[in-house]
Amino acid sequence: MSGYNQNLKTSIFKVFLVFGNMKKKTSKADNKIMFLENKLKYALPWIFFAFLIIWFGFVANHVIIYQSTLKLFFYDPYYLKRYFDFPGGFIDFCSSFLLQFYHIFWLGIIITALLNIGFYFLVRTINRIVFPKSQTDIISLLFSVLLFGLQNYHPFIPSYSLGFSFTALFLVIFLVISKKSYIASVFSCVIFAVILYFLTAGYVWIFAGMSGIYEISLRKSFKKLIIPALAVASPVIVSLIGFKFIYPVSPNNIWLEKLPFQFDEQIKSITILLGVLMILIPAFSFIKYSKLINRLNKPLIFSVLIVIVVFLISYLTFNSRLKTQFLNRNYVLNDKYSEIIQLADDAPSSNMLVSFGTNLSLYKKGLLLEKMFQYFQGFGINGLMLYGDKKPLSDLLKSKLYYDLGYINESHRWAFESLVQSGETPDALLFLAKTNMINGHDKIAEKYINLLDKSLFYKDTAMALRKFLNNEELMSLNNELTGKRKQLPNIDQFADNLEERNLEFLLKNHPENKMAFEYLQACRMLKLQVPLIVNNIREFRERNYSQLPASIQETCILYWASTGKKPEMAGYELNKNYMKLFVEYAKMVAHFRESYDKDKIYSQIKTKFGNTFWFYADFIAKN
Amino acid sequence: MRIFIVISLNLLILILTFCSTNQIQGNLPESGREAKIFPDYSGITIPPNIAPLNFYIDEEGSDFQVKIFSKTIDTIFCSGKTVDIPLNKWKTLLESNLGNELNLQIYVKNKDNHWTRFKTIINHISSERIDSYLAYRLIHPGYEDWREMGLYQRNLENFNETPIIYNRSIDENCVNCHTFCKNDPGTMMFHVRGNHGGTILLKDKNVKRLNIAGKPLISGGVYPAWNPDGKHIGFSVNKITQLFHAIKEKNIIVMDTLSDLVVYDIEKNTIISDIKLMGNEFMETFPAWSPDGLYLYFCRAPKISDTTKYNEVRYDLMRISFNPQDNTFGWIDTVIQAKNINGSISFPRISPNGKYLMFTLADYGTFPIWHAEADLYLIDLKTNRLIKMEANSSDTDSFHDWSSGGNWFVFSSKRLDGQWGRSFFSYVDKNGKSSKPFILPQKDPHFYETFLRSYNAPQLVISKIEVSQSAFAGIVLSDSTQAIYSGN
Repeated sequence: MSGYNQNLKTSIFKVFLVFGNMKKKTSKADNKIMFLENKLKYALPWIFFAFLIIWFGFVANHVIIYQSTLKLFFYDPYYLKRYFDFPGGFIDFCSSFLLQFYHIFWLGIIITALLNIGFYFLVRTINRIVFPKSQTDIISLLFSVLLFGLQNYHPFIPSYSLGFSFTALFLVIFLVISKKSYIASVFSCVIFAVILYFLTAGYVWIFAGMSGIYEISLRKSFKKLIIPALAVASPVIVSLIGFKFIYPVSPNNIWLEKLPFQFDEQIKSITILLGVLMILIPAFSFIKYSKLINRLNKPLIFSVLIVIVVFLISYLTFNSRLKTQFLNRNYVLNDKYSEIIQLADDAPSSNMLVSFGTNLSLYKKGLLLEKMFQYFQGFGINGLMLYGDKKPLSDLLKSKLYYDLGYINESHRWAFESLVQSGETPDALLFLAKTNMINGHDKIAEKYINLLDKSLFYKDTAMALRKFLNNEELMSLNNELTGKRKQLPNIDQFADNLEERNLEFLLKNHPENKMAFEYLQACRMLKLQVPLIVNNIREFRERNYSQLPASIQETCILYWASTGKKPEMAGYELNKNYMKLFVEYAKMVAHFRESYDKDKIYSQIKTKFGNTFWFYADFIAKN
Repeated sequence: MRIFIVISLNLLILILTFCSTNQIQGNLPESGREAKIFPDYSGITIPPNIAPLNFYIDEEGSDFQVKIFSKTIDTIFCSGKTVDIPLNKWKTLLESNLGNELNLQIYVKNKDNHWTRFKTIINHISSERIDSYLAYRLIHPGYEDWREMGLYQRNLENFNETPIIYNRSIDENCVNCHTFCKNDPGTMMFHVRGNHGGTILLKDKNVKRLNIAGKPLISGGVYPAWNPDGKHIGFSVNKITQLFHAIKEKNIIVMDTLSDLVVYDIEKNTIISDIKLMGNEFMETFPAWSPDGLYLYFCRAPKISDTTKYNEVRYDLMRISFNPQDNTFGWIDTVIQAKNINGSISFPRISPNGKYLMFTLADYGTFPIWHAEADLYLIDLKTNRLIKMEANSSDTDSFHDWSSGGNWFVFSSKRLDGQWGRSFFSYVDKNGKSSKPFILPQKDPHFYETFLRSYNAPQLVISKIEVSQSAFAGIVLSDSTQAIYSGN
């Protein structure tokens, strides 16, 4: 559309030139369009800012949610000092300071968007200084869009955005100085490189690269080589000094400390692209960039280009699977079980953490043994108890599971493991404080409470917990903590690597532990320990279940059909509809085994019986 | 000009008020008790070269004054609830009063603007200096996987702490078991676990990375002990397992399923052992050398089987003679039988003069840091007299190390909270009596309230380790030298 407009304008312009005296009117039309385009030029960054708010508020909200659960910022001299143990500690410090406000979701979004748009203004200033005669404002937005791509990744915390922004800020100051005085630019190049190394570590290379190329493009004779040489030498020397004498940096990471290269390849690629583009800004002057830009200075075209790039970057960097996983994890840790089931219904996922959250929610809603096979159980027992999952993200979920099960030492163990792996996060500190209070270890609990108290947004939580310390009378009035105390094991054992043994242990201590009982049954079903379930139906009677849960009935039917022995039903009746369905299922499975078109029959069986234990036993567990 | 003078004078008065003149005048009636302070620096013996014992006053009040004085030299005055003692004044006071008392006089002003003078806290300044440095590992206690950890050295004469090796510089490998030969920072070693695993050895200003693992050893070197000749290191090789209890009274148990002892000859790069130290009948661990280097002390328990109850495993204290000239072993003696003292022995450490052997005694097992009942004991090696040390607490006291002079020792205690090991120091007199221990002083006395790392395996060192952390890191990431097993 905009291209059509431009062609039209050009044609009209030519006609007016031919007919001479109509030039004045054309200018007026042009001015109107230029006026609109100018407006667009100024509005576009703010439109992008609004887009960022909406994007991180509603689409990539998991990024903010994830980052809000990271290590807390403590107002404590020791913890503050630790930020500066490494080069680039300043951006870590600022990042951690900002992250504490992510506790308020919308504040987190605004900070993320501001970090992005702040970077845009800095890059725009650089472009304006380097190309004073060109209209480069909208092009500057492309850098911001690349940063947006990086911000879409959950581990891309504010320190990385700040690394780019601080570098850009120092470049702006350097460019201003460089235009005024050569001698001052020589000194500032060295001084800024040293300061930037301490503030941002590896980002100093962007400064070195860009300042060097800028000087080559700006100056003539031997002068053009001095600053580039210094720009490269300064970070080399300061990095080596830092490594040798100041910081415990890895010999493998002397040059690239603090750059986000430890994550996946996409983050690394976009970071390199963004860094290289920043370095190359002055290099465009060699290819008559100014003239090119002026010729292509069509805000409408660039706006469309920006929209396309934003669309592409969003598509490439947004990960809906991760979103489901992080939302699910967040809901689990905040006891939002209806939301989890809703999420599982709306966005079925074959992710172990999601499976875990869904199973826990089903239990909380009294539906675990009724509906668990309606959801993906391909991970078997891992999806129920995260058995064997070693990722740090699952440590807190394990802690939560054992807390709910009443196995407090195991809950403490996994919360501690989370502390070791992920640092002093609010959830880990909370679990550690509570589990120690339940175990009567008030002095230990006090440490964690002290730390929560040193954060900005968990002071109330700390105060609420602190009042129970060394106050048994008040403690006895707290249903949650007292309830857990009643569930504490009386006899000892070592936590077993076989999860069902831990559940059996809990039941041995407290047979009334309903969650342990239902999880044990689910565990047995997932491990296809059918006889163990069928031979213990009386346990449901002992626990006053009015009828056998659906999945247990399906297990009984399968056992009956496969062994020919009717299970001891302890007075329960098997639902006749289930038996009819099983007959139908058995026929279809027999047909499947004989059929050549297995895919088609499999699909039919899955559609009709995919939500049954039978299907799980025949088609999922055995694969 | 006048305004300037007025402001300056006011500022001067304010500064002087804070620094020194805010003293209590006249005699106030003394309260019948000492003020509560944290850390507990009351009734202790301190070395003359220790850093200022900063503390906070755990009493209600609106203003606080502290006088720190001894026989000679000016009194140090401090004000405020948190007492930050000036380093230079403190040093002068201590060095000028060797063998004298160190008094802390605390005044607290209550809500009614009345001052209370608490009973003077009396400490004792020893004339014996302690080694200037403490080396330790800072770790989270009780974990399966690790992430961030490091070996550090702290100047005990001030508050400076520097990393010996920080594991982020070596791809987050685990570092452990730092050990020194006769408290010498120039002759030391530590282990690395992970993809750069090995033993880092510093001797004669050379650093090298060793690989001690390999058949027939069941593992790489674990618990080390330097022979005082500086040419041999005793190692245990262990198969270690960690288990988690279910009841609230217990947390973790660390136990060996197999263990043996070997000696590494540094000059020959060979590993030697003896059938008596690598047999199938016993598990041997925790080596320690006599000061003459002719006896290797160690702990030993019968090998466990599937039917062995974990709480019935008890380690005896043994020793075997060793000839460093030809690397041969002699006969084994039993020094203390576990059944005779109803416990299990670990971490034997012999004093530099060879008079005492200090060890940790727990009810059972091999790794007492998770045993609340673990306590320190001394045995007089001449008389075999067993002494339960006065420095013990109701919580875990273990992992001790002698100073080079043999008058001081450091140990790890969980007495503050039951979970985090903190370094405590105590003085041992010629009769084996230990003084009330004091905790490693910190600049900020509130430090321990939020610090979530344990001071693991504290070791006293004569001076600073001069090898830089970057040099150690470079060696860790380099190729290792394979030690050769030369058999029995």
